[in-house]
Amino acid sequence: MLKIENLSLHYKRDNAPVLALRDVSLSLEAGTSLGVVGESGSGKSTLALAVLNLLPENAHRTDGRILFEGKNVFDFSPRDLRRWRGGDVGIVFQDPFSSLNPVLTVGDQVDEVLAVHRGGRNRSTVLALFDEVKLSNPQRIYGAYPHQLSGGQRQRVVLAMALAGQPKLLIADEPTTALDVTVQRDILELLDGLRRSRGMALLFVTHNLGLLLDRTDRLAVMYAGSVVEMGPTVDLLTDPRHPYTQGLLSSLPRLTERRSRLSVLAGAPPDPSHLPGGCAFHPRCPKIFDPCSTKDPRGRFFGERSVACHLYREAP
Amino acid sequence: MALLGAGVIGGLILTATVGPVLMKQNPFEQNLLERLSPPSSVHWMGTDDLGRDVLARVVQGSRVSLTVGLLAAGLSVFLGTGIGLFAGFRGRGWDAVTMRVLDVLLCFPTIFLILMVIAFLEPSVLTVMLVIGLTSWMGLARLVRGETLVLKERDFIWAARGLGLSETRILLVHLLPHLLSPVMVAATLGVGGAVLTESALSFLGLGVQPPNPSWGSLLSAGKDYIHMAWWLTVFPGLALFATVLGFNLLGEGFRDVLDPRMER
Amino acid sequence: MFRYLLRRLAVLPVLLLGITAMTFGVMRLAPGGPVDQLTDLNVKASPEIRERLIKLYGFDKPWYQQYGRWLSRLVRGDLGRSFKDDRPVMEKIKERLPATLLLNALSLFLIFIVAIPLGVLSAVKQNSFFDRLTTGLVFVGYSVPAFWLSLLLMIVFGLKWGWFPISGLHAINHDEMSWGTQAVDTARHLILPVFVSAFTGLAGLSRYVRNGVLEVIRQDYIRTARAKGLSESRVIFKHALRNALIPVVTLLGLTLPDLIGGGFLFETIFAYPGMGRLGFEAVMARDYPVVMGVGTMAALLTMVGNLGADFLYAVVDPRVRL
Repeated sequence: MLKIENLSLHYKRDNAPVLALRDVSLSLEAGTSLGVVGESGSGKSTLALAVLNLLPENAHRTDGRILFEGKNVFDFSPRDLRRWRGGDVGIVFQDPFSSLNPVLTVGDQVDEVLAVHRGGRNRSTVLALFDEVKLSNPQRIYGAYPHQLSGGQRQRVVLAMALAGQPKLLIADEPTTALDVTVQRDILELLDGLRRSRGMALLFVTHNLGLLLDRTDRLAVMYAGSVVEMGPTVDLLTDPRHPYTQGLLSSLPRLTERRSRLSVLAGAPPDPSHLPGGCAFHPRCPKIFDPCSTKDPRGRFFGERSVACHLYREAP
Repeated sequence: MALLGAGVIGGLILTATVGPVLMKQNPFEQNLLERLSPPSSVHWMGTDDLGRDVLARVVQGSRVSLTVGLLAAGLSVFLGTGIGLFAGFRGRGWDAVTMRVLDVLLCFPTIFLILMVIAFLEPSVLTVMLVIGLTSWMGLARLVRGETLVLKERDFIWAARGLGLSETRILLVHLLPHLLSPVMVAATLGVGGAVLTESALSFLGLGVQPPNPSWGSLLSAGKDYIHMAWWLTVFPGLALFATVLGFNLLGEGFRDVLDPRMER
Repeated sequence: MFRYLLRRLAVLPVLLLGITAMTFGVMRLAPGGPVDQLTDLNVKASPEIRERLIKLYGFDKPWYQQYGRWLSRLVRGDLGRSFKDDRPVMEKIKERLPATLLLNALSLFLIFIVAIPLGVLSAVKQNSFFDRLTTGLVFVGYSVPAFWLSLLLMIVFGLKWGWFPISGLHAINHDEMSWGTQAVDTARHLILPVFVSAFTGLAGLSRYVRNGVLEVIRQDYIRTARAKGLSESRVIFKHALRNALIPVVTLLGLTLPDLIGGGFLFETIFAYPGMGRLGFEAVMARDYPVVMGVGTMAALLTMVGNLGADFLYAVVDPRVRL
């Protein structure tokens, strides 16, 4: 349903351009969920915004396209774009407080979506949506302002807003990062349930790998603007191939293991405006060998999986 | 933008300080034979009703206007920053009192206040300066107080307090540098405002007294001959305009440069 | 909402007290005392007459008593009588107040309907030619000395070309005109002063609106609005503007004193029969009751204006009232 092909994008800055996405290719089937995980600066949020074609002015796409049901999002006319955003695709951003307009009631803000995408405002539909996101006392919430609600309530409202247009694809960009841990779990379960009941595709972007492990069908790991590994979550979990993925997984604390120290990935992600030559990960890679510092590995496909690492050649 | 303003100001300061020395014509010398003559090669800006060269008077006037403007704004900035810092830092009691007083003062049309005060005292360069300075610090005080209130909760201030530094030291050495940018902007714009106010006062006869030329009083004198000697109105006004514009450009330029929030 | 208003209203008496105290205090500062001023001009005034005058106006009583008396009269709406022509001050003010209000209201109106769209457009088209042009124009308006501009316009429009009258509010034969002609006549007289007043006041507001909109546009909720598929005009006008206007309302409260106070400059130049000019002439003539009356009235008006602005602020920003 959604195909991202060879997307390359950079932000123009005064001194040096920041390479945000480098030859990224992903795909997402209807009704399935894809988790995108990466550290800050890996380009994952840029990816989310790119799908909506909602990038800031200084973003320049140098290559690639994003196809939704066969049509290139970047070719959409302004009218098509407006129908696309909030309609077939909904997005939930990270900070629910700043995502909501402080001077309008939340009910109004959700109703707006109905007005644009479903033929007109409808209070009862909004209330039904509030029910769906498990907000208690929807009547009161309708007339409330963002500052009167708790963090969890706000995020549910934002979710309702994203669902109002009956999207086929829901993008969640760090939806729980700004919330308390207990609330996080509730929201995640809510997302799960909604996805199944509505049959939506879900694109879940986060830096917290742990959240995705038992919730997504497939997983894509991003590093410094490119996808280093991608495949069914189960496979990645049991048999991670890229050294970065391996590092990430091993650094997750596990209840069943006994360890005195957590293993970490040495070093820090590179500055996106000054990427190292060759493979972007090579300065931190424990399995580095000859070609790594000079040639940038392309993602190679092995059945359903792809890895971008010199260690893995095409299966002979 | 700031560059343009700076250029204008530079030219102005040059004119004010060096100009009167270089001028061939004497701004105070009367020549009744040549009174009210239009601009010519001898008198570039014409002469006034007493035959004095207008250009010379405009240049001379620049000294007055600039001095008053700078000093009045200086006083206003000093007061505003000081009071704002004090109210913001002390908080609670002092803050509440100060704000109420400020509210009352702000209710007053400043000009009117100035008017009243000056009318009852002898108008002179000094009084004008004092009065303008004493009546325009309120806006800056409010700003500074707001910023101080926010800043004093920052960790580095707590750290300074924890180290036992004296309040004065904290205010001056630690807080003040952070306020520099809005203060500078306000100060520059304040000079422009002060010059305008001074000229308005002089225009009404309540500012700098003749024969000391101030642009405002030049305009006032010119008003009576408005229909036959346009140069008496146009040139001093132009000088005023250019000066204020210069300061405003400078101030706004500062704001564009120093205010990080506006960065794209 | 109610509590918010009540809180603001509670401050009123304190403010009033402060205002009256200030006006009174300034009066007392006058060197030589008011009676001296009166009698200095009249050589024939003997010491007895001076004594009587002093007693009559109560200047012999201690200052707090005088203040008290003045306050009590004030509350009853009695502002004393003018020294110049012995008419009740309140009456003189009432004559002139409507004219001043008219000038200020029109000017404010003009400023708003021009500055806000200008500011919004400048922000939306940041750094475009339009933006630079308006910025330039606005700077000119801000920097040009109002009275100079008035004089220039008077020269050009009033004298040279005779399009607009340059003084007063009504032509001499105003009362004899029909309703329609009266309106036109008033309008013609108002055009120049209102224009100058508005032009010089535009700058501040439009820059403020522009900066406000620029800042709001970068907020996350604007991104959300776009992500919902709203049209750009909806995004700007419904979402951005409402937020950007909040500080504008507070600015309104701050501009008021300047407008009301600075009005006297325009009124003097254009010989406009307003309260500002009344006050100015009274100050020059040392007509204390009138000065105090005008000063208090101006401050009161400002206070009312500020209250109105506070009220508007609560209407516009729900975070304040709930």
